Amino acid sequence: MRGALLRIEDLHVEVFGHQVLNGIWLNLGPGETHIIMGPNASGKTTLAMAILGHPAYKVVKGRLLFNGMDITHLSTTERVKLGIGVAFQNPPAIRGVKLGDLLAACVRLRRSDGDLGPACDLLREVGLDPRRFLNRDINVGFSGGEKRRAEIAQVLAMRPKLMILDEPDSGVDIDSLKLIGSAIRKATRELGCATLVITHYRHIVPYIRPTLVHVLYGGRIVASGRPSELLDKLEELGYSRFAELAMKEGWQA
Amino acid sequence: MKGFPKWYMRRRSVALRLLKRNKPPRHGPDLDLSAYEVALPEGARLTDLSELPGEALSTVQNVGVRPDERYRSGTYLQYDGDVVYLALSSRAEPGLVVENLLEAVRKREWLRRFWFRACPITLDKFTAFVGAYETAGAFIWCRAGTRVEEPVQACLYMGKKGTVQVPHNIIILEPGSSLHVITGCAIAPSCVRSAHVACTEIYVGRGAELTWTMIHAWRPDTHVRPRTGAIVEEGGRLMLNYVLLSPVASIQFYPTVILLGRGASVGFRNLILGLGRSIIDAGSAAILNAEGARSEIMSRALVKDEADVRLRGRLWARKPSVRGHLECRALLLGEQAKAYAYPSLQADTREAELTHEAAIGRIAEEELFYLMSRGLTQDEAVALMSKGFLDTDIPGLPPSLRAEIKEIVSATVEHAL
Repeated sequence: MRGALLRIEDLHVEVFGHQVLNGIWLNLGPGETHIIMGPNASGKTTLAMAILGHPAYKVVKGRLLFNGMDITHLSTTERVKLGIGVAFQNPPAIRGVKLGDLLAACVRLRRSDGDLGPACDLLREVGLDPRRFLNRDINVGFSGGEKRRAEIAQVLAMRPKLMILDEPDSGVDIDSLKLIGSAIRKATRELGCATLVITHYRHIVPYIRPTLVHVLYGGRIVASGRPSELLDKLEELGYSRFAELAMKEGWQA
Repeated sequence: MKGFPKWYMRRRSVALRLLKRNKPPRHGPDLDLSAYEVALPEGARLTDLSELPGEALSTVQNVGVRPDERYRSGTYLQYDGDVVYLALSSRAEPGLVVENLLEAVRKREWLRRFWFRACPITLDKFTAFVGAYETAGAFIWCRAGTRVEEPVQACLYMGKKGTVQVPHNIIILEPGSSLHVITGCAIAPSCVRSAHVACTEIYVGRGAELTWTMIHAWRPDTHVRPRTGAIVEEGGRLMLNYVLLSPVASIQFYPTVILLGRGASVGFRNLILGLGRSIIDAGSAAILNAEGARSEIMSRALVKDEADVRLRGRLWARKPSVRGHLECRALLLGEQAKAYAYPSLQADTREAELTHEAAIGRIAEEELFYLMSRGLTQDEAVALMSKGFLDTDIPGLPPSLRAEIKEIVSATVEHAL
């Protein structure tokens, strides 16, 4: 498909010898926001890590196209330089490495002067005080909500073309959810980037207003559609029953 | 040996007799001292640090010595066996004395009470060697109540190949005084097969505060055996910061601090870069010998190439209501690199609180990948984590000195990786 920023073709991915993704197809255009929903262990994080090129996540079949270019065998560093930014679900805590160091690395991807000013604005926007957080060891002693916010601020500071947010809503309260959701929406609009949000729950959906929702089950996308078409049905049936019916009746959008 | 008092000459002959017993060190590889010629004083003097040869000048700057002497209360420069430069800044507080110890001992009879007291001459062959062959050393004395703002810098430079440099330093802080000392040990690139055997004795009086920061850059064939002992009186505070930046043939030290007065405290920060084929045996010990004494020992080693690093720490609680914490961490960066941690706690009393943590590990793949996801290359990510690992705050330093040390460590790590 022309115009897709990210095109995933029949992606099969193995993690430590287990096949987790069994043929994913996806097209994501600039300015679009897609949501990937799925239960635990359905392959959501695997998809994010495979797009970013984590060495433990091996593409055994299929390919990834970014702006029409095959990136399936590029290193993570190269993919990041092309404009792929990922907010991690479980970012590691690293002693001695400051949030400020990472923000500086993110900023340098797009600005050679490395000016941290705009990154500080982003921190404020997600509700983290730069005076308190820039000099803190990354994720060491951060609460769940602080981790999510710090992840989002870093990814926004990269000014990515493709933004992937892995469960930005897990373990956060309703206020954080609103803040995170609206920061994502605003950034998508301002940067004009394509955004892929991975989540378990529908709560964040109204704040993000996605173009499409995909339901991932057993390593495959079993249904895609507008939120209004899928979410109520999903809520009513639950993931496993939903997936069963979707596969039987072919609910692909 | 003209002009030395009798007591001093007697101690030297005692030291010579002790040396004949050849008592080996408790830790680390032994060293045959007869393979080296003692670097003797040759009478050279400088009127300004900028007169140092260009090579020496840049080398000493890398270990924190400021040739322009800005932000320094005083400067001591020992070149091989001799003190070639000694000066106090015009801004230095009047109660501060910096001299060559071997000059000081001729005119200050009372120094005999401090002679090999904090550091026993019987400890091993190296203390005996210093007692028998010392040629110079820094004598830094802060009179009662003198609070010295800017640090005193002491530099020990080795230039003559095949020699052993033998300094004996004594630092005395009288009650209520405070001082920062920064010592830089460095060696000429041409100074092959040399050794450095030193003895430092520290006396911190009641309510006095000393921070001593030592930065070292040796050659891959230099053997180093410093011996340090300290006595801290009531309410006194001592902070020892040790930084090793370059490959070395072997180094072994185990400074031991006796907290003798109530509420006395000591902190150790050891930052060690184990590079090349260095054999490094770095210990720190505190004897908590008075109620309310406190100690914290923290050692961090970044171990690369084929380096072998042993971190030792010892806290010994001998009186009630004392507290101590010991932390040894090593980060291995090479397949051939080796690290060991030997924490030791001993309590002779019920009301002592002693804790320790030791950890040896490698950089986790997940952490590396995470940093790379932010646009860093693998090398940049390893460098950032390594710098972060060694970036421990050094408490009690003036901000400018802290920034200088941080800069030195950061530049060296970047260069070494």
